[in-house]
Amino acid sequence: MKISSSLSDAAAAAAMAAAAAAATWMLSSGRIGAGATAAAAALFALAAILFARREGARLAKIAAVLEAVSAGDLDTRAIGLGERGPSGRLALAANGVLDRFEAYAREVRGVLEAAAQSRFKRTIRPEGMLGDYRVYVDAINLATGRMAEGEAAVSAMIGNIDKQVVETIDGVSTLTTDLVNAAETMAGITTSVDTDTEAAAAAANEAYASAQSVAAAAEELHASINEISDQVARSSVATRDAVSRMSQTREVIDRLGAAADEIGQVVSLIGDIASQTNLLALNATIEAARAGEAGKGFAVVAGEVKNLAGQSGRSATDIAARVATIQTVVRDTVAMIDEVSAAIGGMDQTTTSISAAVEEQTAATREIARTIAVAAGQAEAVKGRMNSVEASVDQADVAAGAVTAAAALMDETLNGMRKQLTKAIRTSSDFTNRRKGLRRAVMIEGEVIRAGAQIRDPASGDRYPTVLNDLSEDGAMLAAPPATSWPVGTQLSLRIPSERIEVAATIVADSGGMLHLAFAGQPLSSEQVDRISAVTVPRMLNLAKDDHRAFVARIADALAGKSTIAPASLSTHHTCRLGKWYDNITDDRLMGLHAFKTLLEHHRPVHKFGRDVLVALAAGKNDEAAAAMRKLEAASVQVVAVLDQVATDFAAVLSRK
Amino acid sequence: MAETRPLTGVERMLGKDDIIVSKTDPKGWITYANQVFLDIAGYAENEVIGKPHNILRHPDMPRCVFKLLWDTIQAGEEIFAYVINRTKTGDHYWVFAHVTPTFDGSGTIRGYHSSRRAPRREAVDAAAALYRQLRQEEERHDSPKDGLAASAALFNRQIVTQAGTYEDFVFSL
Ligand SMILES: Cc1cc2nc3c(=O)[nH]c(=O)nc-3n(C[C@H](O)[C@H](O)[C@H](O)COP(=O)(O)O)c2cc1C
Repeated sequence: MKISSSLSDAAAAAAMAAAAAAATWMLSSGRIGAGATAAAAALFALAAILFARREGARLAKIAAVLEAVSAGDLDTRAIGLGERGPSGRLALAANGVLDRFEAYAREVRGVLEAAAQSRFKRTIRPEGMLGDYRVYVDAINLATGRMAEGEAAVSAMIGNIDKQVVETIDGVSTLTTDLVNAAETMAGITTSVDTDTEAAAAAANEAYASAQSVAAAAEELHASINEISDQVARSSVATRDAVSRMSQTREVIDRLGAAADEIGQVVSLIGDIASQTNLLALNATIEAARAGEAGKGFAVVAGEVKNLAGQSGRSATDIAARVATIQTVVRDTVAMIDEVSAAIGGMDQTTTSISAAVEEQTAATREIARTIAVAAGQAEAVKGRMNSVEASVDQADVAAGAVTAAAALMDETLNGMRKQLTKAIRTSSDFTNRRKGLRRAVMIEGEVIRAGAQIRDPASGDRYPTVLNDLSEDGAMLAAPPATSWPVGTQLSLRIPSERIEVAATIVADSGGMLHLAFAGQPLSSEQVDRISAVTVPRMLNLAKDDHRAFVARIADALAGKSTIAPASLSTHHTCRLGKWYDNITDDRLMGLHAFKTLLEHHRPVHKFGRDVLVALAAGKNDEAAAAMRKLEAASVQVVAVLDQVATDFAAVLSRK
Repeated sequence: MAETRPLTGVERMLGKDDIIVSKTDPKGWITYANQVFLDIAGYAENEVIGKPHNILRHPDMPRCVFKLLWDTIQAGEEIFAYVINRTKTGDHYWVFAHVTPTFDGSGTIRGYHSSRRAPRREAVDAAAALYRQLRQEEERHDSPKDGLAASAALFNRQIVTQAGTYEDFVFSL
């Protein structure tokens, strides 16, 4: 500030004042001599001269001030000129003009700067704004009011777009998630169909093979049965032959028996005759004896006859005995033949029934063979069809794989798009980007406390522990409290105890579970924000590593049967701590890192394989579960490596700054 | 403070349309004070020029308010504040102050400007009540540093509770 005053000016004023005072004293003291009057007049004249000179110098100063003002310097003032006399009054008036104008101009600058930052509550207070100033002030206040309305409208619109973008993308990404799930399920089904078909084909194959061998066996059986049947037939003919021969023999023997009987009768007749002859011979002998000599010859004959008769009788007895023997033999033979005949007859019956049975068996075997041939044919057909099923299942599998890959890619693209869009919308203009400072990624615990809340009551719902995702000098983004009682416009205070930060803030936006705060009053220092980011990003990356190791351990426990986890209860690569953090990062320093960009593609499989393990376990497919577990372990190692890389690269970026 | 005459408890009122203006160098030493300033504070121009601005400091003003004031203006921003000042005679007067930095051509701060207008009575009452609380908080602590930190925290919380931002708070009074 240039102040127009000078010491010589003050000295002149003092001299002038002294002269005038002396003259006045002389005049007023009543010593009114001519000399005195002359002296007083001289003093007055001196004072007048001094006054005129001083006034001239002061006016020149005031003129210089006004010239500076007309050259655009509002800061300058005329000081040290007192307040009396024409020049004093002029200086006061000039300063007064400037004071009002500069006060007004500074108000205008303040209000317009505030408007440029969308702080429309900053208006010009009308107090002290006089006359024309008041008119200008009213016009400015009216304009900022309109701007506030406009901003509110644009803000609401952008909030809407933001919300819609988030919702649309969320919707689509739910769809893709569904799609991925469907594809995965399909892949699961096809895998099981695949194994089922393989099993069926194998079974059909086996069935076919065994049918073949059964058929062969049946064929053999059939052949041997036929043989048996032939043999039986042959033996039954032989039997029947034997039977007829037996009955012939029987007849012969019967006739033999009858002949023997007849012989017997003849023999007994002979015996009778012989005994009668003997009697006659006896009589004759007696007669012959009476007749003496004449009868002597006769007696001899008679004796002879008697001998003969005796002989005949004995022969007859002998024959009878023999006939009896024959008869006994005949009877025995007959009995035996009868028995044999009966046996043969029985045999005949047996062979008949055998051959009937054989006949039946043959038919049955033939039927079996036929059926088996059909079955084998069908098994072959099944096998053929199974092969084609297998082929189409393979195709379906490939398709499912393609769908999964496409959906995953889409998911990634969408996620990237969401981040880009959200970022684009949020930072597209100063209107919407309420943040002047660069958003730095952080991961730090904090707490929001509703303005006016009884903060000592933790259960009031007016106090909520949260985690900050990004931070800048004048704002932050953090995980939103679950309740809807924290709408946009809510005023609160944000505490970060570990950093001893407590700032007043307003919720300026809410995007998908994230609250955006604008700090009121004092901004944080850039050094502090930088330091928090530098310290907490590596901490987040370490947490993420631990999280994923724990995740793998949990799945391993489930695989070992130590616990059961429902696949649905498993976190996804969007819902785990890393995922949530990652999805909401808008820090260019991180987003620009190659490792950070690849994080998603390495992170996703960890959760996918984890789910695969559980799904396979639930289906009782332990081999598959074990295979997925191996993939999970490999993927987890990958993610940990990428997280390490991100940490290294981020540190490098920070040190380069 | 140049002179420490005892406080009289007498309040002086700034005229409805008056504007007190003062300017300081970057350290807060007065380089200009307008006639309204001199009239109400009871000083002659040469008694204030070259003096630190705290010659007006009234003991009822909490330190945390001046801390906020200096933090803000040193950051190149404007600030509004309700301030109670003491006069040379020990009287006091309330103002609604607007303090702004003055920049040179290269954007560095080469001084500050303050214009003060008459505050509304209700605003004065509210500010006085708040300042009492803050003063108490400051005096509760043995070390001035702790006192300042505690009152600043309380100040923040009160602002948040009552209005959200300091600006809203000031304009809401
Ligand atoms: C342009 C400007 C105007 C100021 N006006 C006042 C004021 O009217 N009253 C006051 O007590 N302090 C005022 N201050 C603040 C003082 O410089 C000082 O910080 C304050 O009186 C507290 O004094 P202390 O820092 O010695 O405690 C003003 C500062 C500046 C830069």
